[in-house]
Amino acid sequence: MRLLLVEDEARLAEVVRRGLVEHSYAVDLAGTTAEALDLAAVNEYDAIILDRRLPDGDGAQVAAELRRNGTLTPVLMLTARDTVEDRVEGLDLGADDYLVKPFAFPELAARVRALVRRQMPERQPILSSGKVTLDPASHTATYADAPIKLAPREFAILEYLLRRKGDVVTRGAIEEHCWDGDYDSLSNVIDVYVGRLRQLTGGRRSPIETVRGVGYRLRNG
Amino acid sequence: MSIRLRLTAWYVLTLAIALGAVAFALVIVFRAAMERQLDDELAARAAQVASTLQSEGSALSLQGQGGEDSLVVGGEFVGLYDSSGNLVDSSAAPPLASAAIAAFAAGSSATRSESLTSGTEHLRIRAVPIVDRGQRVGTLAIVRSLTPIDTAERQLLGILALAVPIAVAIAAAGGYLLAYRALRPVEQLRRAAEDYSANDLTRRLAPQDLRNDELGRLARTLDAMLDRVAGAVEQRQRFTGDASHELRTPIATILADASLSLERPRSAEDYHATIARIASETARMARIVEGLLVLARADARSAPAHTEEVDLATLLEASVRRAEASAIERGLRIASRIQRGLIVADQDGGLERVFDNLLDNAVRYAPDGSAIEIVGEAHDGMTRVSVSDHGPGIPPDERSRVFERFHRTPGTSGNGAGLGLAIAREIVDAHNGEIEVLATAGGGATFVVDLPTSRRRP
Repeated sequence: MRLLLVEDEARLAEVVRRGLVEHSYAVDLAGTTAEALDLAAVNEYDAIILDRRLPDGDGAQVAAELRRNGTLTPVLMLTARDTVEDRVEGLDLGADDYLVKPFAFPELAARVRALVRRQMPERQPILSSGKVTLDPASHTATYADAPIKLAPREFAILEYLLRRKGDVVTRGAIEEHCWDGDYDSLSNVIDVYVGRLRQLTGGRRSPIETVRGVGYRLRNG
Repeated sequence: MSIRLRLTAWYVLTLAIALGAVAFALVIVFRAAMERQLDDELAARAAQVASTLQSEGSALSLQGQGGEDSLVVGGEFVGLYDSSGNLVDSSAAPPLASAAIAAFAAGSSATRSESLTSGTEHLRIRAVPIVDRGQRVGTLAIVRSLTPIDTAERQLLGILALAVPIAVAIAAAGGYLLAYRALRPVEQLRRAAEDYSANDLTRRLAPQDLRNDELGRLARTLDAMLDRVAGAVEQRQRFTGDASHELRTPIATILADASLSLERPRSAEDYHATIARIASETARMARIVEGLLVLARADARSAPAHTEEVDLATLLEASVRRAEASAIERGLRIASRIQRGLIVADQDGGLERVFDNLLDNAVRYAPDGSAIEIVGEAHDGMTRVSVSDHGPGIPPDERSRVFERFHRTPGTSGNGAGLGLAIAREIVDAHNGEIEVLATAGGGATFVVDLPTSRRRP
């Protein structure tokens, strides 16, 4: 899953980014409303974490602008302002959830999981298909009830495929949702990761299929 | 008792006294004028009668002089008395007060007038001595009734007794209405003040249809006072809001970092790195709290605990030494040119903080490897310290705002809390000095502090 983190306090942004990467998200960072709108226009994010107080304006205006442009990406607003009026205003301008600073990281991660889940065809908190299960909260995956050890990127790709169970997923979509903006052309790398995932989930009997010329599909059931 | 009633009561009382006095004077003057007129008539009549008497020789007789009218209504009584006071002749039957008239006439050695009251009769009498060959032989008395004057006076009194209370009553009603109208804005003002609440500082007392009278000016004065109060409250609220934001950011960073670290077991290096970051954030919070305390103390404007005369050079050299550690790390050079012997009054060691903050600021914004200049010199009778860097500088429209609390020039990294320059300005103000920011020749920012010189040491 790919996230946009909009936070101008560099140290806080770095901590949150590091934590989210640990949770297998691809994270892009923006420090201003202008940067945030530029990145959101170019990339398709699964969720946006948005600080309200930014050097060039109110983060809530970013949420409002995204909604005006028709972007429905879920927005989690972060703020030090915690009056009821502030929260109501933030939600009314287009935020989907509101988290008051200071916050514990696990709560932020849980809220992000909930927001991402809402966007996906598969909304169960624990994802499964056949013998494969994946729990984003505990960051664990199993095959035939045996835990499998996944690198963060592998976890991200498997989660994305499970969320879109049954759909044909292009390499471009995987790149878009599982890598942040710092990487260039990846299709070969993606093939390597998916190949490893197939080995870990039953080899030839893996539910992950290659759709020639298009991408991959995780079989339903 | 309301002001309205009191005003009216005083007004009515004053008016009643004034009108009463006027009425009293009017009656006195009226009576005096009437009596004078009567006296004139009596004098003319006496002269007329006396002239006929004198031409007649020795025997005293009225010779048919004097009217035949009765004395009672508008008529007169003319009596001729001999030197011992006996009535010799008269124009009509003597009035009831004839004895009193006789006594008055007998006692008169010169011409004189008097009013007499005898029983129901009220008379005005004029007595003229009759002199024959230097010998006083008798007295001529002309008497007229005062009743017509008394009646006129009573009528006048009756009119005044009715007119004065009516006038006072009308004035009372008018006065009350006037007081009510004049004081109505006070009541409006009171209601507006009653509705004023600390939650809505935008409300004002002055009504829309405000007149430019005393109460209008009072309302405007009060509103101006409320403007100042609201301004101070808003400033304080903004300061509190900014302060809590500034403190929440490091707290948020610490909490996020610590809670992330606790999510799962980690290596010793990871824990070490986390604790190091937390320590650095805590130090930053401590700096912010310290800065807020300095500002809160400056706001309280308490008198300085101690003022000390210090040598500027000593002060600046110490600040330069403290700044050098971080300057060397960034490859910066600090060039100082400090005039010796300038003594300034330092309150509670505040000046040290000013120069530390200015140098910190210069070090933060100077590009790696550049030079920072600090100059201390006498300038225009003041002591001037300027700190110049060759960093990005401050755009002209930002220059007045850099000294605001929590202000950060857009586009700069948010490392500080934006309090250093605000603190510097507060301290310089307290020292009766001035601080401003200019552009450094060739780019960058120059902060100039002017302080009063207490004395100069040769």
